[in-house]
Amino acid sequence: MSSHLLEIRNLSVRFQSGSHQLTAVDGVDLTIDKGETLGIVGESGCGKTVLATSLLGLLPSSARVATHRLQFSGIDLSNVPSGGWRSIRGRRIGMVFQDPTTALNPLRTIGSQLAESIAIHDRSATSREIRKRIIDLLESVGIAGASGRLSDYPHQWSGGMRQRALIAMAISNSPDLLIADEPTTALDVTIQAQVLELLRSIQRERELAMIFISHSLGVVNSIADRISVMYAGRIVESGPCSEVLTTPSHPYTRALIDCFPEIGRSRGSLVAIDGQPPRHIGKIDGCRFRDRCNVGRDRLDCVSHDPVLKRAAGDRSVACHAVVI
Amino acid sequence: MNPIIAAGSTVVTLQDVRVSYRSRAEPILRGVTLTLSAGETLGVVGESGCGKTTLLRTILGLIPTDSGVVEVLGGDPPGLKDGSPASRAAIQLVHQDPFASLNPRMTIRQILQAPLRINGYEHSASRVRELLDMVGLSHSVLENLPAQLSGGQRQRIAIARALSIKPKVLLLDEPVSALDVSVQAQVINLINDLQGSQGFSCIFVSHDLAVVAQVANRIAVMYLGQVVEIGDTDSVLTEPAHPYSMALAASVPSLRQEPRGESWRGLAVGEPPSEMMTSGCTFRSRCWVATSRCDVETPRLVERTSSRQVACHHPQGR
Repeated sequence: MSSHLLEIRNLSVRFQSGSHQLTAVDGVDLTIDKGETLGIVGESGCGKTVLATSLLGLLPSSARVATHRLQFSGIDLSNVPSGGWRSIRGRRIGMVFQDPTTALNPLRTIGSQLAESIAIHDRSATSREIRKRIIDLLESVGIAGASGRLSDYPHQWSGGMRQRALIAMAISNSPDLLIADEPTTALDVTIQAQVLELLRSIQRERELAMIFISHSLGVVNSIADRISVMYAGRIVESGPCSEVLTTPSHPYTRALIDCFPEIGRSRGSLVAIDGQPPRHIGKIDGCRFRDRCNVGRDRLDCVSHDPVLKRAAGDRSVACHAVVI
Repeated sequence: MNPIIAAGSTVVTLQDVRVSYRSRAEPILRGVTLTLSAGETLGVVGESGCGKTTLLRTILGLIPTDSGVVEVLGGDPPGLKDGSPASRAAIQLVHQDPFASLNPRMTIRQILQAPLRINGYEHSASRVRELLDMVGLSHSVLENLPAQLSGGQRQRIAIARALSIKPKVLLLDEPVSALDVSVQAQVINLINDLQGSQGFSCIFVSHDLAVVAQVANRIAVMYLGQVVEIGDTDSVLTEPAHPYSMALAASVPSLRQEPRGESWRGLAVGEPPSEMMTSGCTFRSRCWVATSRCDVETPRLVERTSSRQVACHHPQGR
């Protein structure tokens, strides 16, 4: 038995479109323990959202999932019987999506949408109990005067308030794992800071395990205990967040740090990464970052062999031929 | 090259400019005052709805003002109908979304040739290739459609198009916010390089203070239609005087490991008010130093040091 809350070994997700096969996630390993926040960082198209949706059984039917192990709290997520997801999704695993505008139904009140998410998983709850739980939940996520706002429609709430409502919905059934996919990307920075603070305090109070997905190293740094950096469907580096960001091993992690705009960096000191991430990942020989890499571009093994994620000291791992472990 | 404007002279001036849209009860710009000097980059930073884009539209003369003075290169804004082609060519805009700002049916060659031809410049293929060189793109994209290019490549095309007719003022509206982080830095560096080599003046609008800090000589912080603080980039970032500037700086995600500005964090309480305040300071509902004076008296933008103006009754720091 694994002791991790979630253990993923060699997960791949491919999409069949006509005669083409596109790889979104390619051999990903990761684990997450109770009470831990894992930040997954990567650019658009690197597979981070597909990775998250594969944990919720929300992939489209064209997706082909292959894995050695996809174990969540004793449940094999790679083989959930039809109808089985209902007792997992929203109950054991909560999800917060990126865009608070489209994640709520515009034609139904906030209160009724929250009530539904509770009633579906707790058939015995009376409407009075549900109402009380909703008010408590909304107040715990910082909505003042919640009892008077249950009959509001989503458009009457600001983006920040809607995201708070969605966080309330995601934790309404006390899940063990919360997946947050770019939950603050659509928000203004001062509101983003508030929502990050809220997620941090909820995670701590409830000892939640959280997977926090973002394109921003800075946002991940402010919330995650551990970080996994994804590039073109692969995790290229993992480890404790503070260590990876201060002493990055993989050239891509290093490059992401060098091009991260931050207050206090002198003007014009950003080091850009040449080129752009591959748009479609087909069959790849060698390292998928090598075209943009300033370390391994000319190394023979980088051209011929795709590096695998190797364990290094101190709970760190890295997938790079040029890094000596 | 450019007809040189004396360095330090003012190319854009806004004096107490008010703008409203018919669809909204409250004005969107509520007395904006700022200047852009020749050869400098002014960063304008603020959150959604603060009037950043409206500010650019006002400078371009695309919308009428309710009151106040807008002066561009010593005259009226170029305008849509009455401006001369030359005055319109002197000020150019790069939009936020490079997926929407390029005509999907035109090739890159056609996109880059159009402004040259219309403004009577040489529009040969070799001139177009020079433009591609200028923004670091391969000549092989000439006959491509925008859809065949990545977001970063498209934004380079948009910049090349804007600079092709040698404007004196370049307006950039969130030019990197639609781009991936690794590509963002390429475009930021390109804008800095081009500004150094071509010497145009530049207004760079962004919601991201850290991005603005990478390009701007001076920064204007906007909140709900007003400039609340304006000054040299370094001094505004290291010693923000307006509480909103402090909150903004503290909210920017950082890679640093030590808790940074913990005393500032989260100090901007709540959200912008849903209804516009008619008197007093508009930031007071989120401010932690507001007093009864802030309820009644609207703070004016006043000089705090020689290089800094602040609109606050209780400016922070020295």
